[in-house]
Amino acid sequence: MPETTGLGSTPYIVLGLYLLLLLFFGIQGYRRRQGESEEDYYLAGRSQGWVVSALTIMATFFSSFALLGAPGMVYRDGVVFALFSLNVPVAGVAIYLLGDRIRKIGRQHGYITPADMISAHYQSRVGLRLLVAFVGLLYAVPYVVMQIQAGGILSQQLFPGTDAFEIGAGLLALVTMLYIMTGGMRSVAWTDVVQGGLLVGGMLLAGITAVWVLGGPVNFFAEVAKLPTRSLSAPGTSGRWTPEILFTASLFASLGSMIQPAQWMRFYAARSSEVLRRSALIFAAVLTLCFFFGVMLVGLGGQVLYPLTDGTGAYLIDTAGKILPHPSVGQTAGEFDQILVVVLKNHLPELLGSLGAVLAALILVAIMAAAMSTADSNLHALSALLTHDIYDQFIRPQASQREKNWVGRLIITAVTCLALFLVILARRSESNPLGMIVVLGLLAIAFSTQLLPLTVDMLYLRRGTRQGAIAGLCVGVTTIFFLSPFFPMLAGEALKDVLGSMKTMIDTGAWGLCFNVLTFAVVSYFTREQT
Amino acid sequence: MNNTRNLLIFLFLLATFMGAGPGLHLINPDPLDPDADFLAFGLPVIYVWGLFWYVVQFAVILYAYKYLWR
Repeated sequence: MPETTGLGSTPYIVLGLYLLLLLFFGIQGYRRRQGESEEDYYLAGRSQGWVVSALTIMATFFSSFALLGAPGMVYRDGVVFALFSLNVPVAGVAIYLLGDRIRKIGRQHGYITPADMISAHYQSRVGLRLLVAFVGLLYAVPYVVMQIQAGGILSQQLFPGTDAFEIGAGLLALVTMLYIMTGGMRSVAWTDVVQGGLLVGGMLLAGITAVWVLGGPVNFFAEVAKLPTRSLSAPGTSGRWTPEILFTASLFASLGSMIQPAQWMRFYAARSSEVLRRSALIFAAVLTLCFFFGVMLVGLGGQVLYPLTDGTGAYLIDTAGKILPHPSVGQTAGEFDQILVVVLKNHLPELLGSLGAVLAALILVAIMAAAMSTADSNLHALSALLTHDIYDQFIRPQASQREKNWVGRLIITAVTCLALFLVILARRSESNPLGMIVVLGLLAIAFSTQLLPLTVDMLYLRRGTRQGAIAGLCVGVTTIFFLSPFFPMLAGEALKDVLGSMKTMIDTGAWGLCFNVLTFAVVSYFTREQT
Repeated sequence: MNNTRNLLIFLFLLATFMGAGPGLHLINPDPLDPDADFLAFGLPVIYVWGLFWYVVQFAVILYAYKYLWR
């Protein structure tokens, strides 16, 4: 058995047991299925209780964004990003205010996907259904890519050697793909229960570890107080997190995360209002504390243990002027995300010997759990979008249920392979275009946030029209594309100054939402009579 | 009921605005001013500020859970 860095063979054993447990749940989900119906495969028969619902909503919401991305961003920018934790209660409120109405209407009409409800409400069988499925795709693919990337980062840090990144990313993708294809939503939800518990424990344990490594809470904050002043104030070390960007990201990213297809389907799957009422409270209480007193402290401890400045107080920067992590953490501006793994593997065994190695392995499995629980939910939802909204509606409406389920499984395989290919391709390119996890995550969420005006109108206002909905969604998605890192790749320097200054004012998703709402309202006003 | 609901919505949005938004300008220390207060109770001042407004957010959710979400 090859030796791992500082942790002995413990990570192999813990990780092996964990992956076997997931495959067991996949088989159990298959054996407990009640026929081949779509409702059973995609929504677990709409019978989920509050424990499963709360944990599967949590596990889907918290991904490698929370366990690697958030501490990485605090490590780079300092305390200011810890305030992003206030987005979690906003998401908690959305679980009840949006989720419960979605659940009720979904149950009443037998809807399976978000596009079912939206296209029925606006009476747009083709246009809006395809658009909503497309927005779901724009959210889910980057999110799956992020999770597979996290598997690679973890493996690279734990099992140094040639191709460790690729092997880790491939293993995470393969196991996730296998248990979703076997057991559908039931397996995804059961594994999410285990993974949700693991990630809550892992986040808090990681925070305790960071404080412990620095000699307890008093010493920890005494050391934090000595950090550079840019780490203790907004807009942070890199200057990215102005209060306005922080506010719009906290408000709209949480809402966008709650109306993405995988969460929408979890609302459908909940058994009752009471289930979502309890889920909202648990979510707002538990997860915010995991953020504030868990992973965010790892980022701050990281700044103390692995400073971003040299002996003279000057920041380490690359040739493009971007701030670099400490050389022990990473070599490029995109490698801040490794701080949690570096702190664990370098300090826990040193503190606690073999018990430290076991605890470190458990937290590392929690990172894996966070990544897999989000990847599985998004792959599962994506298979529903493409099978139910496109194959079933436009390609082979006469297909049997069994055929549709197999098409769904093929889609899961294809998307997983595509995501893995993108991760490895980006990894081997000169400048990794996937960048930091938080940046990629917020871009994906910006796309799903564009469903917010439609959702609020459909559930509460009921004043929009089909034309308004289509126009607003198109304008919103186009705005996000213009503000994304992909536009300069295609258009070079065009609009560089305008787009650059827009990005420094408010969050990208909020810009898309502004233009989206404006277009939706104006077009709906002028087309209401015709409708 | 409507007044209570509107007050809660206002309080919740205010807490988000203050804790993780432009309200930060009220207490954010200037990183270029060496005499600025970066700490409160021994913790980074913006961390304490964020925690306070989280408590307000959670109190609103708890009230809604008990009395409004039926």
